[in-house]
Amino acid sequence: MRGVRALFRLLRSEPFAAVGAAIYAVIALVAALAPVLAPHDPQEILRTGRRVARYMPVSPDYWLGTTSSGRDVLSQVIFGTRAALLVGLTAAVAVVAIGTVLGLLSGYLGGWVDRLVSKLADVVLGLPFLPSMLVLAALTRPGTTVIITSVAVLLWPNTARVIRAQVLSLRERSWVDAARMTGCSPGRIMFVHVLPQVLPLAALYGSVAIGWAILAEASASFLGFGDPATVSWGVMLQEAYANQALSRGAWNWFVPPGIAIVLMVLAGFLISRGSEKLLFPKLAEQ
Amino acid sequence: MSLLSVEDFSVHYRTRSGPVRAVDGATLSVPAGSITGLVGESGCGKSTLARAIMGVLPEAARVAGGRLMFEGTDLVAMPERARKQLRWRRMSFVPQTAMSALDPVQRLRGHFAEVLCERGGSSRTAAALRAAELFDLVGLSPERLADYPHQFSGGMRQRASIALALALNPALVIADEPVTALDVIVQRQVLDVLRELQARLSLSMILVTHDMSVVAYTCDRVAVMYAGQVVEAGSVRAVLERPLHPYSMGLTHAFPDLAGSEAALVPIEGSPPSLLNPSPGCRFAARCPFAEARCHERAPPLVETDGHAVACWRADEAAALRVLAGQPAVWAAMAA
Repeated sequence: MRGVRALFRLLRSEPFAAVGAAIYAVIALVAALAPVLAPHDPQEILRTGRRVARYMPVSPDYWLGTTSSGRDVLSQVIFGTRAALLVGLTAAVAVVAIGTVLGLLSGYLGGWVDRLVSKLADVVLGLPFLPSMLVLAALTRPGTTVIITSVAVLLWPNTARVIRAQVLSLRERSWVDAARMTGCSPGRIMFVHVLPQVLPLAALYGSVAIGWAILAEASASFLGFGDPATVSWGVMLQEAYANQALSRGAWNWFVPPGIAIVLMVLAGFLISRGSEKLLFPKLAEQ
Repeated sequence: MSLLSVEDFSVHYRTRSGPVRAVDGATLSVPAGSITGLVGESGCGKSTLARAIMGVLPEAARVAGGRLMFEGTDLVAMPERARKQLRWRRMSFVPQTAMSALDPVQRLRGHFAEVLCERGGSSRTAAALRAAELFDLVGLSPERLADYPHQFSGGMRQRASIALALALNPALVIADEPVTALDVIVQRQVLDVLRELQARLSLSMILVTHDMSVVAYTCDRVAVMYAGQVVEAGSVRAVLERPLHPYSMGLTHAFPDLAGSEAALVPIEGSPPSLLNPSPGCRFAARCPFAEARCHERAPPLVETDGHAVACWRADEAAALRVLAGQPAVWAAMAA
């Protein structure tokens, strides 16, 4: 209970983070209640009488209209939250896990481990993000797994570098020395004593990675490397583009998923801004 | 027989300009059931020696020779695996900076659980009981085990560190400047805890300090280190009242008298020699007002008579030198 109250106090003092957290909360709620909230099955081809209900404008029956194949846009946006959260969270967890473990090993053990990890990070950071992801997607079967994997593979160096730098400073603290004296193994020192102190930083990078992963998924899907069978905002945009929604003036089709993506990425950014103030209170004083 | 004997032991630090002989042929014996003080000024190698005994030296340091006989076996020859088995179980450490030697994100309970369960192999419940008992032993309320280190004052943290060091009933406790960062009132309290525990549990302890008054208050025996070597060792009473080495004589005058006499303090002029290329003679010769030609040429051996060891060519004239050492002018002349 104390933790919950502290969290609320924190959110009140950090309006940025509060807005970001609120957006995440709403999106998570929508994803959980999608079958209840969505007026139609997102993949169902709707008909009026005997005809397929293509390009229906906004109306009481179809709040955000329908697509070229007669599917309900609102239901697709609602179900799209699931794909977004799945990709965003899985990729963020993967990025943070790889980045934190490699950063920890590299910073604490030093020597050849450090040189290897740092070189690898340099190489990966040199790769342009989107083209590399498209190459990875093209080499394997397109789909969500490839997108998550490539986000994890391409984004871990940022986290690893920051964690490594922090660990380099932490390993010289006298309580780490004291732990060594008591006969703690390096593994125990790293994962029991040092890890908890870099977790806030890892979480910060995780919240940024969520946004990146969703953008990556949207970009890949928009370029046709997504999984056409899943309902995602990126796939919606791609279909809208392929069917000339813009020249048809079907704003109701491509604006909602676009706004949803922007909101989700913005939320990650706002949260990281808020937690930055929390983690580095000195920044706020300046 | 002594619990630990340091025999002609050396530790060198690798540097760009060559090895720095931080500990250079130190010889010392620590009897069981008493507190041995290890005194000397900053950089004399006392902390390096303490860390070497624990077997946790910085990366740049390496043992360059000699033996560390602990409970009959040589620690230097022991493989790291076996060494780790001894750590904290047979010998433990009270760090200099207890202020920051506790993991800031772990409750005190967690520190004890780690040592008792991971190193001592006891169960969670047994560990909780033992932690409470240890806190009680050092005069802390067992309820405070649920607190984080930042909720403790400096003196309390030092007490907690002492309790941690005693957790597994080690044969030897090494305390590296345990009271240096504390104010004198708290120093006294912590030293009282150490004295009381020593008497109650008949602890064997090495107390590293630069403060002669701490030695006088706490220790049974004392070893004086200078520039990486032990220059004098013996019972506290003998060394403080009848010092045989000019450096010890200087030290006893450089600290305020415990009895509060108003005699002026007499500083030892100059600073310790570089340990990069020490001279072949006595290390203290350059600052010693009584140095003769032979002192600069050959290093005196550590000679023991009646349990009082000294490394000085003029030790047999000590009684006369002590009188001279009491005069500020003698030391002041070295400054010129």
